[in-house]
Amino acid sequence: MRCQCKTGVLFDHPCRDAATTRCSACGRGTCAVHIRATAAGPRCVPCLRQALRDRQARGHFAFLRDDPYFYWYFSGGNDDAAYDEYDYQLFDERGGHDDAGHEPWEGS
Amino acid sequence: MYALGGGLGHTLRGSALASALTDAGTPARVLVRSDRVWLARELGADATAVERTADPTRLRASVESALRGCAHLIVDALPSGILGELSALPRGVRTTLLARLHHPRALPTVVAALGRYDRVVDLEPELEWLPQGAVPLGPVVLPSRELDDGAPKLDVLVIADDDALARFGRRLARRLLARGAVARLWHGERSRLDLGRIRPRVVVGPAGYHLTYTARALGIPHLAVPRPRRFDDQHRRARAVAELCHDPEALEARARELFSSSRPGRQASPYHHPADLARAVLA
Repeated sequence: MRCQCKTGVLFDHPCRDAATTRCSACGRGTCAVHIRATAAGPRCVPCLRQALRDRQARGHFAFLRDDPYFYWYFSGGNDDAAYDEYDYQLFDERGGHDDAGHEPWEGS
Repeated sequence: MYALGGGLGHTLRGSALASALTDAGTPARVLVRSDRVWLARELGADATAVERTADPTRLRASVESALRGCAHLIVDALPSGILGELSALPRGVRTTLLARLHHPRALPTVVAALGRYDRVVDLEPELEWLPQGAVPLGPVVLPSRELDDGAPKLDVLVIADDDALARFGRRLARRLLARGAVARLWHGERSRLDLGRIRPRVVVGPAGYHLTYTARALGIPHLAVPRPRRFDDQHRRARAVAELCHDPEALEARARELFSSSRPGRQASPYHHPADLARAVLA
């Protein structure tokens, strides 16, 4: 069975990956990319997004704050945090990395 | 079509070329790393998965097996392959190299391997190390999946292909969101990034070939954060084609200046479609 979630930044596309887990809230089959472990069991990305629409509930899902699928629900509050040394390193000529240490498949 | 590599660009370009060649009556297959087969198929290409391994002997065996029966081998950017598996090209097979920018560190190896190819097609302007007789084509960009009304749907799209850039991208997007901008981070999505369809006012991201020339073709300002690569020279490409900022604050300020400006984005630049590349390869 295929994952029943949609994927995409702005536009929805069907996810073509194989479903490996069922969401404990809605029951849809979900791939590993579109499922998150929560205190209430595995939840799919659409169910969590639905839950995050409720501002009061966001505190229960703080672990999703840095997750690229959810981070924008958490904007506000501490979002003027200054850039740190790791961010600055990205702008060094070497991009904050030792080139020689690159795994060949990732360095092409 | 050998399209193994780190970034998504290898898979995108290789798959689009394989589809264009097949459409032109020359059945083509693309060799991609096994975790990118979904993307090749999304682009309609006949794809063969090659397992990602650090063992040169295993990789050579996989590639040689996949090349059996092939009459024309087209290689994207890495003339000797990732682990040297193309250091001996198959005999009796026509060979074409699609040449792009390389880091000066990798250049001696690349130049030494050029002579083994029957034909070299230049996908990037002014590669001064190419042999005489190389075919000067220029940037090749994939067409958008759907025609767009041209209206920006996002102020800023941050594209990250590694965790370090994603970390900065999340912070940048949050800071922009807090100031009323519509900003999103693209990282690890399981769908093709179709910049022409999303059409942000500004794109922030690495300076790989695919993103840089797609943004330029669409006229979308591209604030580049070049990433270190073993073969590619993202700094040089960013200096030539995109816009470089010196630090995170300067980049954020420039992004805000660009998306809040009433002036249109930069002018779109000429580019080629994969069908043009297919013609250049088959000529």
